[in-house]
Order: sequence, then C-alpha cells, then structure tokens
Amino acid sequence: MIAIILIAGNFVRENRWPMMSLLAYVLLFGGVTVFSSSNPDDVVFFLRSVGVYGLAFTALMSASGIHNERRSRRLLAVLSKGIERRQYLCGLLLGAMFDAAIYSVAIGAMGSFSSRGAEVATVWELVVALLASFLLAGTVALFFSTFLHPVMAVLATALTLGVIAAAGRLVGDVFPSYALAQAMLGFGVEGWTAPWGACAWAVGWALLFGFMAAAVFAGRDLAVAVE
Amino acid sequence: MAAVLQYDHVTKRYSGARRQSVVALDDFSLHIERGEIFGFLGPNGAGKTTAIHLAMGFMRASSGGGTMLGNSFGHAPTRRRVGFLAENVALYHRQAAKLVRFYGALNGLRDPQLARAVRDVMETLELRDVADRNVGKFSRGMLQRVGLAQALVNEPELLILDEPTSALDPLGRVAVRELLQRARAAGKTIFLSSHLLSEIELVCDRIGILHRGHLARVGKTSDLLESSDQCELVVRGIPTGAFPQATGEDGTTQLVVPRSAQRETIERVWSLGGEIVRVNPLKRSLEDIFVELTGKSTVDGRRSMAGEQGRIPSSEPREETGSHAPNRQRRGDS
Repeated sequence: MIAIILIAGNFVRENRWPMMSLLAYVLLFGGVTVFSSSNPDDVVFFLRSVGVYGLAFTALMSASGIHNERRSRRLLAVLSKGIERRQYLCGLLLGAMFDAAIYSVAIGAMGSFSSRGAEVATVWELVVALLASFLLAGTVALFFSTFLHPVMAVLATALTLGVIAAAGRLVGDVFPSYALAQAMLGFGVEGWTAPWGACAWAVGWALLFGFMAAAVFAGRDLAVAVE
Repeated sequence: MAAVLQYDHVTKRYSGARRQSVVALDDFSLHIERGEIFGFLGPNGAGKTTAIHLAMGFMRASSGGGTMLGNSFGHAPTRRRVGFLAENVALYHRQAAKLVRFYGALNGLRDPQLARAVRDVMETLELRDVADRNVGKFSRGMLQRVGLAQALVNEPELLILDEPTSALDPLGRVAVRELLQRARAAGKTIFLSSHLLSEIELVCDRIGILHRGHLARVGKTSDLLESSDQCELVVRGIPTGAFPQATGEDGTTQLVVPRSAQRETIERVWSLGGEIVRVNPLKRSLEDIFVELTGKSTVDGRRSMAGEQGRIPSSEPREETGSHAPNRQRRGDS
C-alpha cells in the first residue's frame, strides 16, 4: 500500500502545475461569477461547466500518465523496484483521483459560498456525483492508455462513456454515465438530488475497467524499440 | 555454483512495420554465477538491453525463459534484491537525496534503515554536497551517479548495470570501478553491460559477447585475452638474418612464433650461440576479440576478420577455456 501511495504522491507532484492552473481557474472565475452576478443561474452554469472541464481533465491526466512515464524512460527506474505493475496503475489512478478530489472540493467550496446558505447540501451532493464521474472517466481512460496513444485513449474513453450513456438511457442506472450526465446538466433545478444508484454503479464500472487495465498492462512490453 | 541470473533458450521478437518481425534475441542462453562480475558486450542492436529488460520483467520473451535469484523473470518481490541502472538514465526532477529515498522506499526500505542507506550511498557516490539540489539541473555524469545511487540504495544481491560509466569522467569511472570491486568482495553479483571495453577488461571475471541476438563467445576474461597460439621470444647474440621475420631493438631481437614451434626456435637460437632474454605469451586486447566476433571495422579503419576464421556458429557460443587461433596479438606478461 505504501508503494501505491508513493507512486500516487509522485504523480500528483508531476502534475502539480496543470492542476494548480485549473484550481486557479475555478477559484478566480468562480469568485468573479459569484461577486459580479446576482443571477443564481450564472453560478449554476459555472458549476456545470467546471464539472465538464474536470471530467476532461481527469480523462486527459489518466490517459497520459503511462505514456509520459514510458516515453521519458522514468518508468523503468520505478518498475525495476519490487512493485507489481498493478500497484503502479493503482498509484497513477489514486494520484489522478486525489487531484480530482481537490478539484471537486474547490468546486464544492465555490458552490457553497455562492449559495449563501441555501441548498448547500445539494452542492456537496453534486461534488460526490462529480467524483463518481471523474473516477469512471479516469479509469476508462487509464484502461485505454495501456494500449493506445493518449489522444486515442481519450477519444476511446469519450466513445465508451457515450455508449454506456446510450445504454443507460434505455436500461437505467446500471449504465451510469447517462444518469450522471443528466444530474450534472440538471443541477440547479428545483428538487434536484444526486443519482446515488448511478454513483454506486460508476464505482463498480471503475473497478471493472481497473481490473481490465491491470490485466492488459501486465502483458505489455514496456521498454520497446529495438536497440 | 548456483546461477544468480539464468537465461534458457530465450528468443525475443519485436513486431515491426508491415508485419515484419525483428529478432532481438535468438535462442539465447547464459548463466551468471554468484559473486562474479560479468561483462556483457556487443555492438549496438546486438540485443544486450533486450536481454536485460527481459530479466527485469519489462518485457516478455517470445519463447524460452529464465530465472533471476531463483525466481522467474518478472517476479516483483525478487526485484527488491536487485539494483538496476538503465542506459540513458531518466529520473524525476527532485532533490537528489529525496529521489534516492523515494526509490529506496519503493523497494520496501523504511526508516531508520532507509535514512541510513540513503546517507551511505550518497556518501559513497560523492553526492552529499549536492544532496539538496534538483536532479533536473544535474550534468549527465552527475545524473548517472544518482542513477547508481538509486540502484545501490537497497544493498542489492544482484546489480544489473546498463552502461553505468558512459557519462562519467575518468575519476568517476575509477570510483565506479572501485565500487564494483568492493561490491564483488562483499559477495554481490554484477551484470555489467558496457561499450567501454577497457572498463570491462579491468573489472570483469567473465565476459559474454553478444552479436545479432546470439551469444558469440563467453568465457573467463583471462582465458579470452590469453588464448593465443603464439608467443614472443626476445633473444640476443644471434647473427643478423638468421630469422627473416625477426625485428630488432636495442641489441635484442624479437621473434613471434607459434607455440608449437617455441621449443624448436629456442633450440635454434642456442645452436646459433644466442641467448634467450624472455619468452612472453601473446595477449589479445578485448577490442581485437570484439572486432573479430562482431565484424565491425575498428576506429582506424582496419577491416575485421569476421567471416573468416574468427566467426563461430552463433547458436553455440564458444566457452573459452584454452587456446585458439588468434588474429592480432599484443604482448602479454610472461
């Protein structure tokens, strides 16, 4: 477990500048929106948009982790130690989720501040739903990045989440991306509640993609190219 | 003696463009014994790094397999007992001491043992003065030292080093050579891949030469270098022209003769009233052997002897224990 935490910490450190830029964006533009607008719809729109950015950010970060480490050859020094490849993947995912959690908390804090005491609980429900979405997107992206270039992995992730959403529209929360997307887009409407069932299914799907990623990554040649 | 690192008929194919595959290793077998320094030589593209990466579990063999410290290649807990330095070392941009600490912790070391190990290895590699500096600002030589530090921090039983001294200055090379010799004295095993033939010649107990995925030759360094069929006689007091092939210097005459003709030549010198000053077996340099086996031109443009008598069937490496026909020789100690 310590090895996973070390790898996660290292991942967070390596991605600190894009992460801090995104956090600065949330705090800066969130502050501007809160203080300059008296219309609550503006704040809701801001929260929805940063939620979508977070989704894209998590997918990109997860998809590029392995590729960057491999291309820079830093991966070799890490995997030459007594750790399993699945531990390495867990570390990357934990790091990405740590960043996603900080980002979500920042969104929650901005939302709570702008609500001025009203409906604060729903803001934090949105944060939980966002975290579930980020976990699903991050794990799917990580899975595809084990055998695809990051750009292709992100595209494949978008396609997969789209297919899951299409299935979810027909079947329900078992395919959670539709319910999660609806929840994000519907935030602010009176009577809004978090899709708890979809959140739970998102965690289940993340586990499935995590296991698949570990299985594929275990069989991959990591140091490529003939000398 | 138990093999610390063993390859059994390993073949590794890379799939290339247009479904063409490149064979990096072909039926490669080798065993490294405990407590030895093994030099792994070969030209670029011979398959050295592939062999190392297979042992470390970075890739899977197409066929065959092997063991490292008694466990199959890729066994993660075994790697805790191994130190690895990759060619063109790439490390995270962090403070040197923190970076070494990070790698030590990944290998399961914990304080206070970890703190002590980091301090010791930084001291050994003369990195204490730069321990707080960011590795991203290091020269290549300094980076290589940090790479060595991360390989050594867990006090490994087996060290696998891919070009460990390529970026070091002469003093750095001497330091690494001494470090390797100390490690051997402490009972550690070292698998050393390098292009620096002089380094290999100085520190290695055994040498393997890889060429086009085959182990072309393997044997004790001393046997490889001394396996000459010729010797040099230094004589004086013989008439000029007695031996057409002789060369003269400072009143002495040098004769290079086959070992089989050594006795006969000495007797002839005596019969001519001459005196034997010394008899030296001729040694070849590692470069000569390398060039002979790999078929490359030397720096001065000489053509190699490959394809002639020096080439051997590649699937059956010659284990060097005695003498065989030389190509070019240099004088060895008598």
